[in-house]
Amino acid sequence: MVPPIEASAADPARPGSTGQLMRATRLIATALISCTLVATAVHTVLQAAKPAIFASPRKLLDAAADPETNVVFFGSSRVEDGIIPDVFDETAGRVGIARLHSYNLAQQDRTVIESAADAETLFGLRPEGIRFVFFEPNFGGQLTNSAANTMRAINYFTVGHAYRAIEMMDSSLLQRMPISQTAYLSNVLSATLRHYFSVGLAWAVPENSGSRFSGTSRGFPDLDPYGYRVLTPDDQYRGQIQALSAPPRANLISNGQLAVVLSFAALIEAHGGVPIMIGTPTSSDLASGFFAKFTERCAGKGPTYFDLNSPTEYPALWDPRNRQDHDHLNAAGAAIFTRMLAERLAAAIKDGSISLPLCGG
Amino acid sequence: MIFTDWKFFVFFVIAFCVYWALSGNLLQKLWLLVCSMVFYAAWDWRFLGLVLLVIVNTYAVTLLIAGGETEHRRKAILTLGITVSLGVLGVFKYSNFFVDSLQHILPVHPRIASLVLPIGISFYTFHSLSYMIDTYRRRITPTRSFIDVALYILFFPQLVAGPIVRATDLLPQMRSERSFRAVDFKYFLALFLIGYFKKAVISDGIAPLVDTFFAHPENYGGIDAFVAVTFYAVQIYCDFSGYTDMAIAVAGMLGFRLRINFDHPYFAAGIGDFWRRWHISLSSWLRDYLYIPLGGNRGSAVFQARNVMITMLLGGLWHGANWTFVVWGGLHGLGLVAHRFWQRLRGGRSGGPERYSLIGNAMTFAFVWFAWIFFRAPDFATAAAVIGRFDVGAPPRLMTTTNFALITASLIAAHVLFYRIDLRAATGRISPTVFACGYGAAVAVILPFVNVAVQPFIYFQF
Repeated sequence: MVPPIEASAADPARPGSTGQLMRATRLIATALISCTLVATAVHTVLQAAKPAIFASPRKLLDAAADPETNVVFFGSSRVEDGIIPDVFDETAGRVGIARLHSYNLAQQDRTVIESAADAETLFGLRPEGIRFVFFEPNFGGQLTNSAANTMRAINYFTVGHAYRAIEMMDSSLLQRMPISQTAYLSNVLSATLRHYFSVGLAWAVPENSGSRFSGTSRGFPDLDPYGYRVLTPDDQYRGQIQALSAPPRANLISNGQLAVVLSFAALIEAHGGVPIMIGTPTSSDLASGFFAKFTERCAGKGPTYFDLNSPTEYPALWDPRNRQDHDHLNAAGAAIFTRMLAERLAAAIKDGSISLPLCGG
Repeated sequence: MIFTDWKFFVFFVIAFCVYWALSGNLLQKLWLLVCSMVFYAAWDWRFLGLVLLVIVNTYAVTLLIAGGETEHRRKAILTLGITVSLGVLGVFKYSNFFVDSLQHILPVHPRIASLVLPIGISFYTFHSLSYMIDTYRRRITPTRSFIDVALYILFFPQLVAGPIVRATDLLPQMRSERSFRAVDFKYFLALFLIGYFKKAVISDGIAPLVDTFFAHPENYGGIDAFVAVTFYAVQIYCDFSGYTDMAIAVAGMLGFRLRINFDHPYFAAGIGDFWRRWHISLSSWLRDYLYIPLGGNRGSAVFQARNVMITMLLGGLWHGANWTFVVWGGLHGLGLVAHRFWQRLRGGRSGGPERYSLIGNAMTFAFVWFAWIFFRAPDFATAAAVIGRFDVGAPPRLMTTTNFALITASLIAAHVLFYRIDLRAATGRISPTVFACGYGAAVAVILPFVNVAVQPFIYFQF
């Protein structure tokens, strides 16, 4: 039988004295410092041993390496499938903006905070020469949800980015992902810890970020068979179009989310680029909600917003023959959408609205 | 919430800090009870009612046994108490199994609802049984404190996967005040990290490879079969002994001592020795509450063999409601009987301790290794398919033989190292500051190798 652990008068049952607490705190701090220092060394070793798992998306590196790149597009799969760089450059030249060389850097599920991080990486590699940066204010990606345990999330979540993600969190966003507040926060915390302490990275596999990209199409997924699919309209699709006729709800977007988008625009300006927000033809009420919020808070101020998210104003973008599914354009629709953006850019340059002072700037 | 999950670390830090901040034994125990309920409810709060039923049954039966005036009455109360506790286990763990088995031999097909297996039910039922039986045997005076009984059964470090703690061990520790200064934190922290490494790095790292093989053994050749079964032997040892290391460490940091549950079983010199080293709390439980009451080592060799076989078959069934576990238990029973027979032939004491020999060790491991096939396979068809692959010549697909040899050699070297090290003495020699530095560094080195796809502990299903 195991004898009971006895207490004695000289051996108090509880830790109580300030000295004991100080000693415990000092030891915990020592362990944490030691852990952090060694984790940093281990991280450095891993970076040397497995550089592929830490690498930026291939098309981002390609764009930075191309000396002619001066226009880039950031956003989710709606932008990835919706912008054809060749068509953009050709249209821009035709409407009077010469020598544009664009790259589609959008990727599936990319949120605005991730796009901002991609832009930071790009500006780090290419400090000068980027004239126009188009970006989609997309909020509902899976970085903090189904993709929370991937290298994409681990590489992204520095402390600063974790703060941004928490700033973005609000009830409308959580409902639409869908995810609970606790799960969102724990996913952010977990990815941030994994970022700094390399948790599990010895076994990690690189993100398959270039799988829809051939390397010759400047970011447009030209090899993707889905790009040529044609949507068969159903009741859900007709319902989505109907829903877009309802007044947009600005209260779907929080002040924090607006601030995140505006800080992305400020980052672009700080690097000499012109930020341009784009509204893709989507059924997401967060997109129309953002446009309403932005208009309400930033009337007459930038960044410039090309909102093409309207079935009545741009019926071609909602024609099922130009879409591959409920949320994405096909190659035919992408060509139309790209031409529209190039023409809007030319018009904005012409009337001077491209250089609006930034909202909150 | 499992020990390797970050949620557990948050839970334990809060539980630990509040526990040691509270003054008085009663408050500390009440807090531990609350924590244990939260810990269990994290899986499924609905089964707390079931645990409560077992606790009330245990509490009432032990007090009634103690107050029983005649032996006949005491025995009747014990029988009733055992029936209730085993009844809960039988209904929730074995009803589906028996109905399915009956359907194979009888032309009837009763439709019954499939029951969810409450986590840890086999463990807390055995806690309850041992306390009731020990009370009946007058080995312990039952406590009148309901909190003590509830905490004995619900104590979260050992609640869901053991070790199977005896009331004679734990209840006396609950009666007396625990001392913060008496806790050997360096030892328990090191033990926890070793357990974490075994589980999160080795066991979880190996698990995907083993799972891949056992899902479709027909796709692989003999070398892969050998690799997969060997790795399963490593996986289950690291999984379960890792859990108990962590359980002992967690309990230790709260001032409670739990007995060791594994003593380097793969270094066993014989099959009897293996069971003195593997899941010690279960094998000693089966010995004390099943084998000895059946007659134990008394009587003829045939009678003893019968006792061994009944004990091991039921021990196998305890692990899971599946005939493969019964066969696994039966194989070990046959191994024990054969080993005893051989000991008698050599003129030694049947069932006595074996002297270590490399050949004995190798033969024991080979036997245990083979039996694991039935433990891991979900059915006999899979077990037969695995065995059938051993003579299939095909190039290895799971991993290269060089990698397998390197990993196996590293694991054996680590096992030998830990066999030789007295962890308590080793940690005792290190100053707290050096320990804190080393501990932080060790954590940082281990973390990159953790398999983050958290795998539940194998023994949770039992």
